[in-house]
Amino acid sequence: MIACLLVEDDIEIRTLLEGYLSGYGMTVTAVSTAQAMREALKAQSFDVMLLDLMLPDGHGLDICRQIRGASVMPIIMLTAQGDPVSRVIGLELGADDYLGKPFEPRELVARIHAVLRRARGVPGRSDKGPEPVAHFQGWVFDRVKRRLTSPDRVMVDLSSAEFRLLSVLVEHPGQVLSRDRLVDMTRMPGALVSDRSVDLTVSRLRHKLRDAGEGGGLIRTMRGEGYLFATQVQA
Amino acid sequence: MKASMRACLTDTLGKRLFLLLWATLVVSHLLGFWLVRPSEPGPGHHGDGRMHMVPGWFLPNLPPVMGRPGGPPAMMAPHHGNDGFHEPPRMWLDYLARVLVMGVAAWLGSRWLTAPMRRLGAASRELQTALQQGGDLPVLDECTGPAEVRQTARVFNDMARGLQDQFEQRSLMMASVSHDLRTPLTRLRMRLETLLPDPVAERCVQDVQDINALIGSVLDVLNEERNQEAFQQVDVTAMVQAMADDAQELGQAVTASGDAATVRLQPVAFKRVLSNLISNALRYGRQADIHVIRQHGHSGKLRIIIDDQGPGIPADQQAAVFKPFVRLDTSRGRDAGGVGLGLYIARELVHRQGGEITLMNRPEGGLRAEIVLPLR
Repeated sequence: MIACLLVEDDIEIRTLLEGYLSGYGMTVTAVSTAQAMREALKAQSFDVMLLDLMLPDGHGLDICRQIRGASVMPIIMLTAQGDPVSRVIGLELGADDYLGKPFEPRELVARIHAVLRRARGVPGRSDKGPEPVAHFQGWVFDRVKRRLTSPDRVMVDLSSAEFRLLSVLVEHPGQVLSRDRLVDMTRMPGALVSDRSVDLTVSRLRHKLRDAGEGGGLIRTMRGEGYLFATQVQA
Repeated sequence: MKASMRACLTDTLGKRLFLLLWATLVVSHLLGFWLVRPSEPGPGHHGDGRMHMVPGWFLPNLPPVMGRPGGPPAMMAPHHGNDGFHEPPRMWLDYLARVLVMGVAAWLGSRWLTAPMRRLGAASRELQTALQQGGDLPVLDECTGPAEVRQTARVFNDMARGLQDQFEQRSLMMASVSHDLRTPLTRLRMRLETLLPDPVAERCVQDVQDINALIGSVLDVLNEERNQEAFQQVDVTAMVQAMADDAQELGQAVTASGDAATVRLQPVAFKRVLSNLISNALRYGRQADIHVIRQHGHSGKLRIIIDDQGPGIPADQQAAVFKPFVRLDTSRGRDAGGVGLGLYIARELVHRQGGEITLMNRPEGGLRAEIVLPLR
């Protein structure tokens, strides 16, 4: 059972979501204010939090920042705003995902599962979570903005698959990652991820990173074992 | 008494103009007289009783009533009978001096008097930028200068503040409209979920999604006007490639190819443009093929082409589709999708990047959307 804390000020949405999510193996505790949320967090621990941005006694972004300072619990922001600025700010402040209202209910369930999988599947994750920005060999990888900037300050866009793969590589520098593990860690609902697609994505990433690849370079092929991100990563 | 005295002393354009004309007159008289004077037999010897300039005591504050103000003392010319042969050059010298002085005065005067107009023009230009990007409003000085200019400055400042208020109110309205419409839509969507699967309920779900899309589109248009995104050097080919890859991952038929190119633009805004064009291509033409072509030459340009396999757009409507809320399929039926703002937004954003966008039908069928960007 997944313990879910829902912070949402509209009573009908609270009731409807409670009912819906319990059909997917989740126990939902629903509160309507930031104050009630704090009390609930003191009373028990939760696996995931769904946080509405517009609360009567506080703004979701501030709350997000406060919580993130104290725990690694995954947070999914729900909001009727939907503008890109709030989304980026929310992710920068530590939310793990962002869903605009009205959302597809199935999609919410899928994202809850994805966020939990990411939280579980990354061993050695620090208490503060992965750093939003990583630097390696002059490249700047902004995880929140999903943006890669080259040493000569050119912005290089990454596809969803490339982003997921690079995120995993950057979080495990110097470790050999098998194809199976990479497939597992870059899996996403709705996308077909396989050994072959991982190879293709690696080759695309190498091209974008202007990397020689293979034996030398940033992303090395370890014959029979997998891939290795051969560089130091600084925050 | 005091008020009317103050009124007499206020700085107005009329008074400035009078001052200018008077000063011009004085200087031109002085200069003319000085140039012509040495050949005069002496002061006050023109005993013909006519009004003329007397050097000893000056009466410059009375405009000469005889003849033309500041005109040459042509009256005196015939007086010097046998000297008539020498007069024309001196008269012309005097005339020339006065014309010169008036010319200089006119030039200086026009600069002086039109300075407020230039400031108004500059402030108006700044106002547009300030409103769009949320910066500080330009403020005209309401305390110095002639009365008319101060009046205009007041009017302008009030107008600027009024416009800024309007813009801010509109932002707030946008935020609340978004929230207030989307909350009931969320409730509807959740309730419909409990009724699925049911054909009627499914159509209701589609309606909810369409309404949401409409809200999103209208808000997008309003948001674009406050676009403050920073310009950056962007690898356009990587951007196009990433979008094609993401689309393929979702099972959509989008391909990308072309030359490597880096352009200075607003990344999020430009992605919007590409996204709008790609989704149009998919909606009307089932697939989108994107090519990035670098045109060489010193004024290099980058062409980004998006081709589809659809029916194209009739030539006489290719300009009209860029207008807001114009769609070829006037039924606004669900199958056609969209609300008619995609191309309007796309063109606004392309212009902001300094580029151009055109549509054309391909000879082999289908529509081509072409974006041309300057390579800097």
